[in-house]
Amino acid sequence: MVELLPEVVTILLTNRNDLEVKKMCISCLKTYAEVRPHEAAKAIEVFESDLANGSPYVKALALRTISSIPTKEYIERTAAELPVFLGDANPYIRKTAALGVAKLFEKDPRLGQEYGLLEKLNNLLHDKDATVVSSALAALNDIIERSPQLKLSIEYRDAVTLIGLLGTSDEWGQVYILNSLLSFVPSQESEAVEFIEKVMPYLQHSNSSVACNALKVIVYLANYVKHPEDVLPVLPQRISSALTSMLSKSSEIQFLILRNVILLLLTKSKLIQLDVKMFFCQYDDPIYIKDTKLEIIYLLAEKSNVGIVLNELEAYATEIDIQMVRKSIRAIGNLAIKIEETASECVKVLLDLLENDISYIVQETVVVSKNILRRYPNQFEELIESFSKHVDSVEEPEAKSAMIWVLGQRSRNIASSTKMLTAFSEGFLEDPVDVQLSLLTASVKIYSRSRSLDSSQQQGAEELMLKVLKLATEEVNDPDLRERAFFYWRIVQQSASLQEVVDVSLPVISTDSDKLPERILEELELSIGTLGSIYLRPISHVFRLAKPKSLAYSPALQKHIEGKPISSNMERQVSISENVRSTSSNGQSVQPESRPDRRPLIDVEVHHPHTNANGEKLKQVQSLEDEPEGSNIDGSLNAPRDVHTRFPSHSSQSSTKTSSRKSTLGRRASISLLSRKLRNL
Amino acid sequence: MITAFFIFNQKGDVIISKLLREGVRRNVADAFRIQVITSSEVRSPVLTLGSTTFLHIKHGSLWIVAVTRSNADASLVFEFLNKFLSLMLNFLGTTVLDENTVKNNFTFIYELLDETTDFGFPQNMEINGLKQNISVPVAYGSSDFLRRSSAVPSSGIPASGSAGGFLARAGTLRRRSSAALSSPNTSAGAVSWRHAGIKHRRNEVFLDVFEDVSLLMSVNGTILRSVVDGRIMMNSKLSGMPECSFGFNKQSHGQTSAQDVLKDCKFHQCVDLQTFDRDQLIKFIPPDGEFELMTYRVEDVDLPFKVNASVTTFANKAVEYSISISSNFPAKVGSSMVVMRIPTPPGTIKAHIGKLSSGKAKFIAQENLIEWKIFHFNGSVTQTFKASVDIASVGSQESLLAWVRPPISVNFSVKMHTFSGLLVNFLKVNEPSGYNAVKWVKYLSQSKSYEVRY
Repeated sequence: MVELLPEVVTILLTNRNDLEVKKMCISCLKTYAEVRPHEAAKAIEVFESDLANGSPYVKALALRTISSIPTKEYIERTAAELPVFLGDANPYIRKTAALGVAKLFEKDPRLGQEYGLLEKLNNLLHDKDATVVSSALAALNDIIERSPQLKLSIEYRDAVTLIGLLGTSDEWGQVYILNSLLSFVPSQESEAVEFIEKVMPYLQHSNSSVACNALKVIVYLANYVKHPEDVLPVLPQRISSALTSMLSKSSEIQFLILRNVILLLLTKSKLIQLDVKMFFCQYDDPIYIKDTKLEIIYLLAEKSNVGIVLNELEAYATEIDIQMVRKSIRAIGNLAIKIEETASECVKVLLDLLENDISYIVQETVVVSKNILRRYPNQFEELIESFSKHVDSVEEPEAKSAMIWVLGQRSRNIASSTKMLTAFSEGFLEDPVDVQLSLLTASVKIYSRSRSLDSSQQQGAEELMLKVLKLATEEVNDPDLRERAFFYWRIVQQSASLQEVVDVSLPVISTDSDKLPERILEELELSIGTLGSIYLRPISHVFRLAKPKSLAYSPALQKHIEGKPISSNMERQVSISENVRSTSSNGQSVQPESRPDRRPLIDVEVHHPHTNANGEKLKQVQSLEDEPEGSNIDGSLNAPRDVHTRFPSHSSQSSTKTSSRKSTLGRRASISLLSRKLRNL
Repeated sequence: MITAFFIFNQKGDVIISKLLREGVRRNVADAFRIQVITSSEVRSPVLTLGSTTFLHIKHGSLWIVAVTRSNADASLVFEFLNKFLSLMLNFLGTTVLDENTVKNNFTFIYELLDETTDFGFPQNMEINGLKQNISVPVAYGSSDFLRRSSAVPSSGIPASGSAGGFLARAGTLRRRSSAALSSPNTSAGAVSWRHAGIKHRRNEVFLDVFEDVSLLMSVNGTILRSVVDGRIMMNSKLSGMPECSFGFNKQSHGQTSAQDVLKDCKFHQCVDLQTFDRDQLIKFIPPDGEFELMTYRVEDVDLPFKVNASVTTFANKAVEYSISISSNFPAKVGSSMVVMRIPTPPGTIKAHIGKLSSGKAKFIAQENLIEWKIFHFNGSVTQTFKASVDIASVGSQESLLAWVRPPISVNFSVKMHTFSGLLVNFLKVNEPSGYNAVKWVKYLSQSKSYEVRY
């Protein structure tokens, strides 16, 4: 097709008045101009004459075209023409010119600065025409997003004007205007309340993007109101009905909304009142929707509705989709941990499921039961009893480790635990390292308790431990495992302290670790409806290029998060009322400055690897791990992922990462992490 | 914002590809094909590779994909994709878009993309405004457009014939009447969805109220969820700049009053939301032609049909069904065709249809279900169904155990009745010239997913 370009240019030059032909030629020109800049440059004269004396539509078309072509001649032409057309009498042309500025800044920001286009674009924010203003906001936002030293700030007076323009703007314009309202910082509670009320009607827009952006603005402003749900009692109901009515849209939009429901449940649960039944899965829901609904069901479960929730989860647990089955079983298990009163009901359901004797159900049930047994140390003997019937069908590493942990931990209640563990030790060398670690610990634990037992059992326990220690130190290559085996070996020799070290009472596990750190939630909240809200992860981890966001300080701001707010004083302000101060300061240092600030986020993940790695709890991150492998390509995604894969060796071993064990194993963990890193090198 | 736009066919060939901004190259399409189209199961409509994200929707065998950089507004992108799809369908006059239609109309699609986006920002997606700006003729199905330009099999591939020959033909393409194009819509501002000077000989408004009812009933007969999704389509053929206002009956026969319903609805952009918020009055200047005025949602409605199912499995490889369905709407309205689909276990070899109070039933082995059709279902009537099935003796135990029991589904439609009880009470048209408009209202209520577990 490139070969045709000269011909296309000729046609363009000879068919100046035929709009249909012109549009086709332009389409071709835009696509191939970059490959043949010289040919393309010949056509520039057509657009020059169009700009000089075409109808408004033709002028705008010419302006759009020259601003879209990334070759030198066109870029220079654009920069020269834009200042004129930004002040054109026709709003359609002004609007096109506004976006033209954004295009120019993408290609050559220096040239844009030279012509003072940013200031001119800024002036358009005072235009009378809503479409022009919204396009100018869209363009500004685009430029700002890419330049770390720029920031938009909107004052009260101008925000009022903008909200007024919402009424006359078209749907996309409303999106851009609503989005820009995040740059307004309410100085008093009353301002925030006023704007929430004014934006609320837009929750009912049929364009879900308008509704989403309205929601984003409302949630943002709610941070500046003390008890938004008391000040505006209708608010929760309005938000909830907006959310539920968007659930009848296409499944992709549903997915987005559901992810945002999770986000709201984590941050602003007071602002929504949702009935768990809304989120029961439909037979033909796509798997990603079922997954997300399951998470919401889990989050919404409480004492009052646990009956129907459990029924529903049990129904899913016998579905055909294995992933779904596993997730619902996990959800049941987590529920037992989350709400103490429901534990026995949950266990009953799990026991029923075990009865089916379907392999993957057994695996999953064993894994979650381990957590339940861990959480309620002296209860649910019936689970253990049922376990022993299924010992042989436990195959998957995670389930195996869990089973071994239970056999070790509850050996006092299981008569044949030593025998069963010995059976497990037969395949020791073939097992993955997680299982080996579990078995190692379990066998030492049993040995440490064996003194109170009769001699034959004592002997069995000792034989088992010696066998495992020998295999682990002599036959196994994994340094992690070998190290730990040596470590136990040494303690065993100073037998007095053995039980104190390996058989301590474990700290209580809880599901609080579902929660993401405040700072991350804050940023996600400001990104409602964006891709970041789908991933529910620190945005800078997923999108390195994204500009960090945080709540700006004002006297009305309600929550104060520890730590330094992301510095904004170095950013150049682009405000509606003031013109841009053209002296740009040391803008370049902003980026690295704000980075250390985000560091702790990564650390947080490292310190609680079990929150995502062990998968004991149903949580947001989990569904992300179902993503196609491709996500690994991004280095920023890689970091936490590596941690996940590295850590389970410790965490699964002791069922959950335990702080008491940390005292003995903490140092080791870091060392072995190092050694593993070395090996990876 | 949107950086690139693609349409793929089922095999993953690119049939439409357009870069709207800088930042990606055309070959990102390969990444999408490899990661999503050829992978066995789609586990998310969003895929992020590095800083590049693919957002897709599926339509028939086509994948419609937007590519974005960094943390883009997903709500905007999905809304754009859906709207763009419905625009294509609308312009091309079909309900299902297939590969050939896209190929035959690729110039139109590129132009539509040009008109509805600028620098990757969606704009002006109102069909009536667009109609004035689109210059490329649309090829309906395999019209003569295809024959004339048959030298161009698809977008990116050059014709085998001489290039000059192809381009020379550009001048011979069928044109729309030049009058339509002479004043392309450059309206921005106040009423961007309607331009001045529209004239109709007869001033008419058609209102179609559609309701889709969904039900999910649990094994023990409790209703897990019952929802009516309603939408009101308007076809306005009105001259000038008419200001319309419109309202529902205040109190319907059900428990839900119109006030409750209105809390949970969405409006077309022409509806003045601030007035609505203040006075609960739906006021708008409609675009010309057909558009979706509003959608609403009503929960916990009176069920149009109640289903009682008892399904018993026997050890001797048989399953017995006893089902009754009763209609729960006034006797004077009726549903013309009610279809109930009753799943049977895998390995079913034969179904014995027992006593039916009405209609016909047959076993469809390929789909493992019995389909029961009732040709006319009046209001306040109960119909019953009895049947049993035999299962192949080999592995029957396992197949019965592994039977996931998909829910029984019911399909029906009822004319001139709404399950929500919502009725249009008034529609006023106010135009400075003061003409009288003729107004028509139609109601159609259908099942969307009416599922009963057993």
